[in-house]
Amino acid sequence: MKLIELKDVKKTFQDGRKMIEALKPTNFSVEQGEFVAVIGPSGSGKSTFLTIIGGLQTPTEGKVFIREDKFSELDEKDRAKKRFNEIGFILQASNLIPFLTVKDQLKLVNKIEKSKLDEAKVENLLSELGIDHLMDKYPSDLSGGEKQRAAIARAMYHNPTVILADEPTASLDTDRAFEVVEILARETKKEKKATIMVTHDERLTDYCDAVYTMKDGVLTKNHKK
Amino acid sequence: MFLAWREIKYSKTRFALIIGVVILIAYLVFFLTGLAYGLSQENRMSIDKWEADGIVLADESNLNINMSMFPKGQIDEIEATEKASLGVASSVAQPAGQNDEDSKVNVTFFGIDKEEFIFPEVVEGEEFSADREVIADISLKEEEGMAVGDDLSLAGMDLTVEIVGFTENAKFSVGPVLYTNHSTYQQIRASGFGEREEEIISAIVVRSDSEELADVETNRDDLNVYSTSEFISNLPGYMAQVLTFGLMIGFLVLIAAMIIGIFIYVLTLQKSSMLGVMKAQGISSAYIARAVIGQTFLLSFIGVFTGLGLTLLTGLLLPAAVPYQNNFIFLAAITGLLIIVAVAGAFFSVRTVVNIDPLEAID
Repeated sequence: MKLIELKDVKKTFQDGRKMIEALKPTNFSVEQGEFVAVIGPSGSGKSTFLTIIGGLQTPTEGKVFIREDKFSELDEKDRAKKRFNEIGFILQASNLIPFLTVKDQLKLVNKIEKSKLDEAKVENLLSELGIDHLMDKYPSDLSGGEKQRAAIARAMYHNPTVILADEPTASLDTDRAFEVVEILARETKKEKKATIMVTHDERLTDYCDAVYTMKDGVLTKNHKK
Repeated sequence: MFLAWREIKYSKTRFALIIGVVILIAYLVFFLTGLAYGLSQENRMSIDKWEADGIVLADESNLNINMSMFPKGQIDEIEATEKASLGVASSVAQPAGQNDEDSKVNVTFFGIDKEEFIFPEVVEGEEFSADREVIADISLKEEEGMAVGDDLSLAGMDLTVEIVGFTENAKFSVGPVLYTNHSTYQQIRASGFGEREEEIISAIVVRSDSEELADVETNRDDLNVYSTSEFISNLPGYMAQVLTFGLMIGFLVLIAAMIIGIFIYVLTLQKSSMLGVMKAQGISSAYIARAVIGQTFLLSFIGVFTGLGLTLLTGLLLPAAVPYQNNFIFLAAITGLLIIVAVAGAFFSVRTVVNIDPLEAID
């Protein structure tokens, strides 16, 4: 099943008197259990691409489907709701709320939903990511790699359909970066998610099922090495 | 409340400072309220003690009881459910035998009839039974150290009176009241106006069974009946004082709202990138706004109640000379008002929360 699908999606911006095509008309899809990387230099339009899929902005033309539902045509409030339920975001570094412990980051989801914290699920998830011993630590006590694992835990906890990772390895050294990407790939397969990782680091694509390159708003699929 | 409380626990110092400011403002507001109430009580306590509905004064007195004067006999012409004659004269009293400045006390004499309803309840000693005996406000004992049996000499006249009893809540124009009989009152009053053939009084205090004193009739052109509340608000300096305090308290409450509002606003601005991330994750503006409002409520709740506690504690420790007095209705109203305006101040920040663009969290 296609969990993410873009049909003729295009995004243009008005910049002074010029119209900028941040994203040229694009067709794109990600299957369940598929881990896709989008690489490209900064300013190439890959952030625009990711935020349109995430519903943070709407395409100028075309449609975005999440689990075959029209996503891009919902109003802002419903998109936020769907984002909360269906999409797990992993951002560069500022992803975690500084005044919540790792466990409370997950508990926040329950608080918003007015549901009970699932202790067993938290334990499982955190031990799978190798950070169960950090449950009661604040983000400021964690290393960069640990923070990103916590962010992955936060994104996975709500059992989203789609995981969108924006430069998840930006602040990590090579070893940590590989670890984080490996975890992402493993969780995508195991939990049958559709994951898109945007990065500028081509070395990280070994774990990916498909690699796309974004350049000047044009998305092209790379041939597998 | 989850986010609000976790954040307070995490940034203890920051929030302790904010709560500290709230405590100080609340303390100041409560304390001023207590002082304002205490002072206004000292102006009117002896009047409230009458539990009267109205007062008859000379028409030309302009509601100033000190300038009101008419023959005592005119009481018979007044129609009211209950009536009591009252003579008012201010004087300076001093324990007999002393002549230093510090021992002088400004007092007000109330000349009254023993049988009439404004006669005070004696809490210590006994009622006066002869001329030159007085029942004094208990503050003369508490603040000046006087006792039953003490003689007081009165400034400017060759007259001493003896304290035979004390009563509570008898202050008029922020000074103690000395109750005495009409003949002693005539002597004290005469020193200001000269000897008269007939007894004079200042006012007739009336009780009425009907609304707005409709059944009270003076039957004379030169006497007017006024309601007790009208009389009180026309006490010299009373309204000026109440309005001054009222204005100060009102402004302080507003300032409290602004300070808390600004604090919360700055905190919200500081957190805006984090809030952007939360919104990107699909957490609604409403949830975040509730956290901001809830946090303000917690801060103001803790601060205001601590301030209230401190005020009550201070009230216990203050010397009797400070006209501080608690009125629980006022304290409760100010508590509620402070918390409400603080929360209202936080609504500034809600707009900021709503306007945060989650896109900025990504770029």
